[in-house]
Amino acid sequence: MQTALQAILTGVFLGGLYGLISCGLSLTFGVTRVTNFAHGDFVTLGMYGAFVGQASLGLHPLLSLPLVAAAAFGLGVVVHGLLISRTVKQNVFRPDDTHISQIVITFALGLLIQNVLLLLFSPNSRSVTGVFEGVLRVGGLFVNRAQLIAFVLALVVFAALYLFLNLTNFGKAMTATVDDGDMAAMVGIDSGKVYAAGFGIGVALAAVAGTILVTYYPATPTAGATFVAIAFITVVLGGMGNVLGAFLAGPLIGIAQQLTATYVGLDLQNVGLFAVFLLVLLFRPSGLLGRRTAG
Amino acid sequence: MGRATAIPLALLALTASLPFWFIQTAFVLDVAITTLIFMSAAIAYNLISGFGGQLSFGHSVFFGLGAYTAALLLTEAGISPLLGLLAGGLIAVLVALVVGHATLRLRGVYFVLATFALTLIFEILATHFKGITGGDGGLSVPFLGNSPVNLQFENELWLYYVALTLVSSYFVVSRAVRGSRIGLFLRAIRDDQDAARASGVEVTRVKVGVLCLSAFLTAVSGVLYLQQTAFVDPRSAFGVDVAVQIALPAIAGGLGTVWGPVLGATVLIPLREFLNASLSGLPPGLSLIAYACFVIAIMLLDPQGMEGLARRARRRFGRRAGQRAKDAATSEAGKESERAQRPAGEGTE
Repeated sequence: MQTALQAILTGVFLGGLYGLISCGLSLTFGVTRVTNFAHGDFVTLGMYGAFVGQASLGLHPLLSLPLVAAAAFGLGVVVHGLLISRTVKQNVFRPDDTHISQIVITFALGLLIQNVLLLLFSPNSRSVTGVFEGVLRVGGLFVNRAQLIAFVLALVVFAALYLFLNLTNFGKAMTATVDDGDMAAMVGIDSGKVYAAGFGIGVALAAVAGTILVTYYPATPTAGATFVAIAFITVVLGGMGNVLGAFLAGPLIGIAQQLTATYVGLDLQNVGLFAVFLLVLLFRPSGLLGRRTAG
Repeated sequence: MGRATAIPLALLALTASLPFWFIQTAFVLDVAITTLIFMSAAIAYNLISGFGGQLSFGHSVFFGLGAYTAALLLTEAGISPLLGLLAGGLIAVLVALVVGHATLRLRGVYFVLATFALTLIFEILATHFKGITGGDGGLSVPFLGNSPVNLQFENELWLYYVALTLVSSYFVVSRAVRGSRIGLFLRAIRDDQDAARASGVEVTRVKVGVLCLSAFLTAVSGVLYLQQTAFVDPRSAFGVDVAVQIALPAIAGGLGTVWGPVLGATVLIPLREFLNASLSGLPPGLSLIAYACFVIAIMLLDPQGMEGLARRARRRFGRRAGQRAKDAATSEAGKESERAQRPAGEGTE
């Protein structure tokens, strides 16, 4: 019982960041309809951002965070402008073909990011050390301080995103675009701006999660592959394009991962996620909240 | 003999003659064999992802299952890879059935997400079950001497011709599928799934069936790859790298066309291999950076890949030829030929 509780607690704390990464991916998908295969690599960029901040500027990861977020948002807008938006204008016979070139372009972009990082930082793992270290003991349960702080930060960032989407005019325009892009454009929402911002915010959320993550998870150039796979599973569980659903599904995925790690095998923890994924696809393809379906 | 038969046969003859005048070193021969093997996998990939429009980033699952099955059967039971490829293919079909039923009845991006996750999972599983797969250390296939029955050759040149035979037969299969009723169903599904269903196409069954065929052929390509490397480990069998090696030639070459995967593999695989070798003095990563930039550029230029670019070039060339004809002959006939040429060039393969 103690073991199970420990697994669940750790899962919830780890799941906060999974949720943050995934709601970025879900927002990008909801707004632009682009499945961003480079999303995990933007997490990696955030990890290296915090590492460089600490190693060369002596910045605390919490101070790097706003800088990384701003840079990542800019990068996202540029990537959208240079690569993604062009595919929308491509003269194709079938609408699905732009969808394919978007997936392929984001995939190649991920490959590009991984190998630029490999070139700059070598394949060795890098970590941010000396912050949030130590383990707290609550009752009979252990809590890794870095993971606890990461969970709280994830909650704060998500709350900010949620307020932005629901209270500001631009956020409402974005939510409307998620609900029905054509209709939103028809009532006068500048969809070009919303698409670029949606992509930028998605990238920024991934990078922010990366800066927090690197305080307890070492960065390698290919670390993103695992996180993009986890994010895809989480996004589908939360319902594609559903930002709140993706965030709430994060801790569930964390729990599933930790229970598998505890009872089946540490190295098989992500296999358990895939089992969850297949079950969701078989029984609830529209996600647990089931508000919207993709396609 | 029409052009449709003459061109492939001429190319086949040309490729078969390469070892006599072009391939002079063992390294080039190795690259050529790798190119042919991944070309065959790309053709198999194109069946479901190109003709069917169901993009996959996990065909390495089938490729790796073929390689592992054949390796295990040979090392544990001494069974020839010729039987191993049947077994590997069937196991790949089983996995394809499960994934296909779970994801291909849904629309949208579920299939590409599932295949991507699946290939990562298989990499983890192959690393975990050390007792069977040898874990991270991988499996080495012993050389049993020159025995065609075991697909092992003293002279690598034989493997080249085996791979060429494989590519040729896949090409024939690919053409047959495209020209068949199933091919028609696939195109209908890709263009408009609702309309296809309304016209009586059993959408999910067609998609799953073609995925199984694609998985089987990809597994056989994996078995041949094992014959070349005589070694298999989780990273070289499953994993994203191999998935990319299979998918990108087909995508950059031109999805949904018979020639796309052939063209894509001919350019991309040697590009990657030679960049790897020639830049070996430089830090790692550069070859894949070049590779990724190349793919992005192609996709931005034309979502139909190189085949689409080639088609556009042909059309422009055709138009210019028409222009020249017009200049040469001041008569109406010149204009007539230009007009006639345009719709002919417009036709999509």
